[in-house]
Amino acid sequence: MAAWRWLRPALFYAGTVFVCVVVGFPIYWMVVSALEPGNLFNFPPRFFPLHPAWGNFVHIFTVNPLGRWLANSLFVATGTMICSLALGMHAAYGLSRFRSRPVDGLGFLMLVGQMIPVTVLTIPFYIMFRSLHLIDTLTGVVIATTTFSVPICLWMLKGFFDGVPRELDEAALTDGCTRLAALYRVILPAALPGVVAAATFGFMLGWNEFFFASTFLGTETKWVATVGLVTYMGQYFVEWSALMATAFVITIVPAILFLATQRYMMAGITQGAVKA
Amino acid sequence: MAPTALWMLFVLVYPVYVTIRNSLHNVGAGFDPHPAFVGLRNYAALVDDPIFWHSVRVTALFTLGNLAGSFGLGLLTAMLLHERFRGRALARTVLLLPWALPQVAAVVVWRWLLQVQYGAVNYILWRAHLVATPSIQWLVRPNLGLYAVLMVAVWWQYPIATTFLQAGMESIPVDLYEAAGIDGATPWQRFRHITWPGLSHVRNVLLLLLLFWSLGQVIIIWTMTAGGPARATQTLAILVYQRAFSDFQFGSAAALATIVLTVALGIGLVYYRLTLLAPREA
Repeated sequence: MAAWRWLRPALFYAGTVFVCVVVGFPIYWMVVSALEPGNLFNFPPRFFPLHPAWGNFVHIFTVNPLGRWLANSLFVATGTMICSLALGMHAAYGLSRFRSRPVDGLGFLMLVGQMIPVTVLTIPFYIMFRSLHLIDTLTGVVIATTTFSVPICLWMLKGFFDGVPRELDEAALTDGCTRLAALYRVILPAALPGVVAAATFGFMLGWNEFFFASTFLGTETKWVATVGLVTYMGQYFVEWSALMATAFVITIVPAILFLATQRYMMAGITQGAVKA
Repeated sequence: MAPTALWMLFVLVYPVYVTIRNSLHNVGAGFDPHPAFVGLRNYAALVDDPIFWHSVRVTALFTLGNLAGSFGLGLLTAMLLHERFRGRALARTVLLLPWALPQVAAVVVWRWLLQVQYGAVNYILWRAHLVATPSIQWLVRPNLGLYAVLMVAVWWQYPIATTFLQAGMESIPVDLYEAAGIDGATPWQRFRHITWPGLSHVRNVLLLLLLFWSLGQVIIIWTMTAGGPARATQTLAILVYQRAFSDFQFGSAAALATIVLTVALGIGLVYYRLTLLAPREA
């Protein structure tokens, strides 16, 4: 029994460390490989970099218009974020305050948008955008991506709005606010974590977008970073260290955002699933 | 609300309408504005197509594997993170981080990890004496392609499951566990009779979401293998894209897309009726 008292935590720690190492290894490997100069063709692989160097990170901006691609990604991600927040928050407020149908039914409708594979929608969007002259534009990519981001943002925000007491609305209304002013000045600040979560989610969806972008964007200078990375991988299969450096640069932005807003994101994603 | 509803009409309902309309017409690469009406012939051609049925099978395997893997790993990690221990915040960050990677970045990293000659995975497996040769062709051999893709898909997706399940565990009242402790319940009994039933609602929502995301997983499959090797990872969602943008058979692609939509909606509705609407245990 006495042995069990220290053996149990020891086993627990060993297990936890093992799981973390297995799961974290690919990310560690990306960073280590990106810092290795040369083509990485070593057997056995070097698990600790011998001569870490920043050279790859300079190289990747010269072989590809990576700076341009990142700027385009930023445009798509920011655009998706703004559109889905703007469209999501009003609808979420309406659903949260003027409910007429069962919540479960609405929750299901929100899920319906999630079940359509992106490839299924790529075709009708391609046909629609041809007549609207939105092919080969970043705006087109933003519009298409909102199909997926608006429902998620709406769902998240509604969960947070539900947590804001109705007395706050009523107080704002009696003070002479319109419904919209009540939403902007009282409800949004009170549900700020939800807004942060929904904004991060919208941004990450836009940043990760690949299929619409790779189908609609023909001109190389209009590509987003995800498309650029995949094309680069297809062209130069041996430049692994440069590929790892590119993957790392593309990961940095969403990873930092995610780490900074982790708490809100986690609460946001599970909204409704836990409480409802 | 009205603007959002209008917007969703434009970006969701109208594209679905275009898809269904195209599925009934002979739409080719030229985008003829008045394509010939062919009725259900696109559908009939699919039913006779062995590639379609192969794809159905691959989709089922991939979906089940991705669902089970994400849920299993999610449950394990959620239980780890539910404990109070030193370094929990760090462990939590490490365990949730894969999901923060863009899927294409995850794929690039994994293709390097699984590289035949110099990949770290092959080396580690070989040194651990789990495999006989240090050069397994993960992305070339048809019988391994699906596993390789599943590995990446699960690695990327399971943190969502962790998050949902951990949030669900946090909402289970602590006194239930205390009472069980007094009664001398074993860890397994505590899990079986408190944790598992306590997670029922979260679990149902999560499984439905994982199901849809698994059916809709295309970025990882496409950039890993593009449906290969030898169609081993050609799910329906991948086949839709290839029919349209490689074969330029937009009518056939639309028919496929309509089938995918109908099946997903059907599964969703049945699941919804069975579980989410069922009266919850008090």
